[in-house]
Amino acid sequence: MSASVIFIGGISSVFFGMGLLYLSIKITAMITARLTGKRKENLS
Amino acid sequence: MTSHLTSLVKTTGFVYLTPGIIVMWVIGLALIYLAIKKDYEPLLLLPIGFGILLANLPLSGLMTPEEGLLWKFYEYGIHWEIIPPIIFLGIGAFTDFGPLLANPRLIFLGAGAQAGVYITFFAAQAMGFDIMEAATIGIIGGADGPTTIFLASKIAPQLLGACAVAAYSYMAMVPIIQPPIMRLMTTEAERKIKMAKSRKVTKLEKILFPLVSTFLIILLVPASAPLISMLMLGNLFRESGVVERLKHAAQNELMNIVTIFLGVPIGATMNAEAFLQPKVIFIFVLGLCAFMISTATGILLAKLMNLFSTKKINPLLGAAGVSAVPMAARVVHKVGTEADKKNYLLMYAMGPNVAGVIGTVIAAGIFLTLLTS
Repeated sequence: MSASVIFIGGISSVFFGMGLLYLSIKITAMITARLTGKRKENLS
Repeated sequence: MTSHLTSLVKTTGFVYLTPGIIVMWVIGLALIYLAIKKDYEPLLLLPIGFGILLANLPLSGLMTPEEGLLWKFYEYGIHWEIIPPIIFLGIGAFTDFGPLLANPRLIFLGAGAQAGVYITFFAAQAMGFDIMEAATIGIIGGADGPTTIFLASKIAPQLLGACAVAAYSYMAMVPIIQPPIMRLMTTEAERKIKMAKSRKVTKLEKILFPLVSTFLIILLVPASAPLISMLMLGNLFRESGVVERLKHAAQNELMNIVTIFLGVPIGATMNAEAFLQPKVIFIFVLGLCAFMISTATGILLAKLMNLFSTKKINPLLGAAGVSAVPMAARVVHKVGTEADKKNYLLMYAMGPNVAGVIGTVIAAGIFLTLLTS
């Protein structure tokens, strides 16, 4: 595999991974809202 | 009588001393001096320095494959990937993800600061390092010692000692390396930007986060599983509030024990033949460049985000996207208060700082996936 492919693929994958982490925080907030019966807007 | 004396002398290590060995003693002693006198990452640099001395005592046999004591520590602790994940268990038990949960958009600063990893990877390859070595050198830019060790032991064990020392040295020098770059890349008005007040994060949210993120991240980057799983398990110990003994064990006893068994064998991999090569100098230079670029790209990303956001981010927070926790966050706070004494950035900086740890693990996982598949 060439270095340029790893370079571009690597950076974009890190951002994608962080996007996923962002998503997991949002999902966590949503589940918390469901479990506590609070409105989502109060959590985020 | 003379022949007996000669035979006796030959059983000692003195006759096998070389200039290279003496140089390694000086390096080992210098690390011990920096640890004791200057307080530079003493928990790691002191055992690494002592390990260097041990590895360069002729005939000691401590690194003899299958037999040597330190070889066994190295083989079963590092090569078998046991110690770095245990360190992540401790880091997880120490880490409060609250600032990240309160300001999720700051996560992306942790990604922006990984650009230095890949830019340096590209530069190292252009300078003649093979692709595995280039990846290991690049990951120094993440400023995360355990991840650097983890990746080096998997794909470039011959560079393990140099890369580990470079990573921990630069982590110790965060307060020296980062502030000039931060001042250069931001205006005083930018450094004075006050962050919007964070929302309160509930305990339930903190408990759910390690569970949800473990599933999502490992499903995305399976190669990061050893580090992420232990990080999140340690964090679950912390946030659950029901396993205080396990939390304390992960934070203290376990962490301290593995630190000893990590530092000494890493130092012991640095024998004169393996370490005293021109490429080691390049590793230190490239590692420093990686770290500086990561700082700069984190700041640049924060500025870029400000172009599209009504809630402005203090660009200094981008510099906390490197993983050196909590040193980088403290440096951000310090530089911020230099511009405005009432600008408290520490809690906000912990968000990208923690995100940087995860970002570096993901970057290492991607290298592993792409280079070993």
